[in-house]
Amino acid sequence: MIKVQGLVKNYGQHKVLKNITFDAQKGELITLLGPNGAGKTTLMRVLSGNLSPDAGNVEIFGKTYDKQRLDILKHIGYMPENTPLYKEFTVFEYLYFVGQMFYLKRKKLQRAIAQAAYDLKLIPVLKQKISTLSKGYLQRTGIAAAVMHNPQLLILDEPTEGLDPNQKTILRRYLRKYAQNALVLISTHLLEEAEVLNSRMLILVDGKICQDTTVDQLRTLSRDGTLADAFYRLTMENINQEADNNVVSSL
Amino acid sequence: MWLALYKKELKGFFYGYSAYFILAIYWALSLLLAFFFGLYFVVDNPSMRSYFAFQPQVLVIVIPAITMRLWAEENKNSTLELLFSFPVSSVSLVSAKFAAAMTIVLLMFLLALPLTFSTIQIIEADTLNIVSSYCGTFLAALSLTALGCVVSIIIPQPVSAYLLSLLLGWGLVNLNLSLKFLTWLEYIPNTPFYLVEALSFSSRYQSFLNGQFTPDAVIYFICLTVELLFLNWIIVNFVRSRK
Repeated sequence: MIKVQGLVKNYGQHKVLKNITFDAQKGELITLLGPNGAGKTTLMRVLSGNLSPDAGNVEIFGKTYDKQRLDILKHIGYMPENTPLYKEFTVFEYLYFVGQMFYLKRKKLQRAIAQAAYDLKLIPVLKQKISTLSKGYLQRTGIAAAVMHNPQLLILDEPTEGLDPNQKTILRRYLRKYAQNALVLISTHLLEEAEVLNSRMLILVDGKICQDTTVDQLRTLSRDGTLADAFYRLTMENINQEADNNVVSSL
Repeated sequence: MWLALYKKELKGFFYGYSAYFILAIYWALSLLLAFFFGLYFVVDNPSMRSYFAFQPQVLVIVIPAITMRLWAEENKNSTLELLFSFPVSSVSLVSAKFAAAMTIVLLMFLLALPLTFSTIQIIEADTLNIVSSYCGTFLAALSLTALGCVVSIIIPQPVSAYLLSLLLGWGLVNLNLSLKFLTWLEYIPNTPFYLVEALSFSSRYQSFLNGQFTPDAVIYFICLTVELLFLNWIIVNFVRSRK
């Protein structure tokens, strides 16, 4: 479903993504983990077609953004970082608008809104203006908009950021269920997220995938049995080692 | 789908009352210039020249306030990334935003209708000339709106987009004056007269005020608008893929 080969993305002189290669299939739930600035959001933007790679190849459903952008976008649900939404709409109006953008007909659209609102517990706020929503509802409205057209690929950038524990539980249950028939890709810097979702993990450090693993495999790298230690060893020790090497080579 | 985008844009204008504010400013400026500088009821005004003569200047000030929010506001609120993730062609995005902005411009023109009707009631007005002037003002507004759309996608800050649109719009409307100024500064020492005339916005607008509905003037404004919208489309495609 997704095939990424040798993906490179630079912002000016700064190399953000360095030779990223992975593939993923329908039915997978993938957590993109990494410290701040590792390149998670950039990778999400490339996968959602908002950025084009400087080198390498990204194939989604066997198609590329260069040639079949709109065909790919029809089957992708994407929620960017910080959940940007149109504040002038009510939740219902916003979901209706997004449904129209994905060519859903009136009856199908109404059913899709009802289903998404029920699944993500949005029914009490359907008639409320988006500008008045709490962070939790905003986040869930963004996710409802991303899933309404039943996309085969769901890309969510930090979907549980700022949610309370109950809201996180609702969302994680929903994502697990959704991933049974689609490919779900979420980014986070919370280890807990990947552990609870029991997902495949792509650990990004300094623009490179340093581990493509599962929770159980990651735990074996830990000295004290915790994921946090394994994550620290993979991320910080790699970075420190590289920084030391740079200092030595510059001397 | 196009209609949904168009409605979204219109809703955005009326949310936060910016459209009402723009309409009020247009109305006040138009009347102020027509009555105090154009001496509307003092001079003989069968074709409402005192009113229409100032319209390009008013539009240069007001239209950037409409267009500045189209793309720049989306950029500021980070909704541009969301908008670009919808399977909607760039042509639809550009045309829906342009159409919404033009709807506000048409509402502005509607505000001036009572003045037109009362003028026709009071004096023996040259109705054809007034219609011609309205057409000229509408075509001028099309071009200035398209210019504002282009600036709005290039400049991500709404206020900066407003100021640059104002500057470029003023330069376009006063192209003769601008070129004379540049000649005076010796930037363009030997400006061919025919070039100034060929590019002149004001002389085309003037022909509408004179009641001359010439194909040359119509083609000029339509071509200018289409070219600017095409440029807008190219920039949107570029931003969309951030190459």
